[in-house]
Amino acid sequence: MLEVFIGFTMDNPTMLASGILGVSGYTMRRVAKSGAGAIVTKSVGIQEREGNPGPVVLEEEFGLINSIGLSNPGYRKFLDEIRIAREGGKPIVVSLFGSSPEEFSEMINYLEGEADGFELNLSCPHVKGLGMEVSSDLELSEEIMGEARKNTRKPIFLKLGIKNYLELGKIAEEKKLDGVVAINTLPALRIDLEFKCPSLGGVRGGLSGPCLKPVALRCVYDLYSELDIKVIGVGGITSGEDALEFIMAGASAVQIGTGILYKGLEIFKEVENYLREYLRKEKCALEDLVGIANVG
Amino acid sequence: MELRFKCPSTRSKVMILKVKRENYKVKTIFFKGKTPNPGQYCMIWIPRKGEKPMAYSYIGRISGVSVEKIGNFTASIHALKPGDYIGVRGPCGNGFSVKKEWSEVLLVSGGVGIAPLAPLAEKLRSMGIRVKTLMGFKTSKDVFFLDRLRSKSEVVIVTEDGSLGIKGLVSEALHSEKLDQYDQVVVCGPEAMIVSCIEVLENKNFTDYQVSFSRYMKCGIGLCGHCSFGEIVTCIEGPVLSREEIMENHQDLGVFRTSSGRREIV
Repeated sequence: MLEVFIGFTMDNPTMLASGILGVSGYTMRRVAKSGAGAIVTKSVGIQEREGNPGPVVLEEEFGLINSIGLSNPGYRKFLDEIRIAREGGKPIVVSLFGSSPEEFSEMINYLEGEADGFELNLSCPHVKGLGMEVSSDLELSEEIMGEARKNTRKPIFLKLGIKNYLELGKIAEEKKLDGVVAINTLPALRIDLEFKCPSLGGVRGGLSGPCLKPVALRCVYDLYSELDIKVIGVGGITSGEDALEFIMAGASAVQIGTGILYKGLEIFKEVENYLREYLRKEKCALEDLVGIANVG
Repeated sequence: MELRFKCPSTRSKVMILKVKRENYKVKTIFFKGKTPNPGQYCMIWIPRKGEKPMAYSYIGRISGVSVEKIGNFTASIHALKPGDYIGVRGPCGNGFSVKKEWSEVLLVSGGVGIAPLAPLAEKLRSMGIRVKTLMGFKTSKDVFFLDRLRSKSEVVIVTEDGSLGIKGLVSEALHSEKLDQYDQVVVCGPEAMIVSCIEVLENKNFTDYQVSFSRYMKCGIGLCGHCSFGEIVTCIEGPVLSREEIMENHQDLGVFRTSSGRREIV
């Protein structure tokens, strides 16, 4: 009843968002077994990266700021983790970051056999020269999307930030990507007054959690009304109601990240159960609800 | 909304009250804070240098962490003086599990692994539980907390070069122990030492043990997953794991994940 098709089939519309518990194949397998419909891995790149010095997280009343800094073992070493994650029996979407079309095609070619899909992370807000700075360049983003599409028939999603999200969404559609994911963490920063220095070791961070929800909903709403490809909603989902709000705005599936910190891994089942009960009561199918509240 | 895991991610600024040299490469810094349980850790933030997890080695209204100088960050901790300020986030993690019906417990340490076991020995004694400690070090120069442990427990000291106590590995000393008399064995030390000790315990069919693991913890709130041991997120669900948890995730025994997340076999 909650089955969703976004280029592959998921048994329910919840997905693990990239960056949370996605370094290890075993933790991803655990999230899959906890009920997530699909898993998005931590973003991997060409080179091994240690990431930023600590502190890498700040808890705020309104959410969380992180500055992990795209730490990853490099895409080759990551293949084993994907294989382990697959044991959870759910589709595995590999999140990729890079700075040139060639880098993306190299990674896609190598990982394609083990991945069920790819998410292009052109919107990480806390690493210079990667992520957000790539998506600021529409031409480069277009080349990356085109090159990625040439290299795989598996689903490709574009992870959007707040910047240029509609323009990039339209390019994603032109380049025949399968969908867009909105939105990444927002650029953020805090100053520690007592130590008179940035609160994060990596200085710049990304804001996630409940405060992001209205912003993400706006992006999902706009994207759904402008595009024909799938929209996946992410940003501040901590309950079934939150997920439903994204679905009514136009999301075919939702990703959950920071919500795990508030509710534990049970959040995937909680959202699934809420949606199942809602569909039963309303006597409708999930797809009837996608974008139902979107009046353009 | 509150985070579900009560590992505080807000940092408090604390003053270093005292610095104590334990040996040529280990220093303890003392500061005030919430009273931790033995086996818990805190994230120590030195502004502009970084933030790393350290196990509490002294426990009370004034707590301490004992730090071995191994790199830039630990060198910055060693440079701290009374009156300096640092950021502390803690107590974090689960700590050792202790049962009042126990009558005798064996502690097994390798190197700085003695740090969280020392306050555990003190807690066990205060509960009237007998304690024996097998302390392993590379050489006599590395030894610390010996008198502290001797005041609370029977101590067997082992050094790899034989410069103090028995010559050999602490896992060999564990092998020589009659384990039947112990209600629990508690292990803390480097990964390779943990692997050997678990092998000894399993070969002897002794299953009542717990191990405190050292993993690369970055966030301390269960978000990044760098510290995972199999499916377990050690920063919030550890660092102390039961035998059952270790066995269910044995594939990550002897495997350490670097700061990039790359698996490295010890």
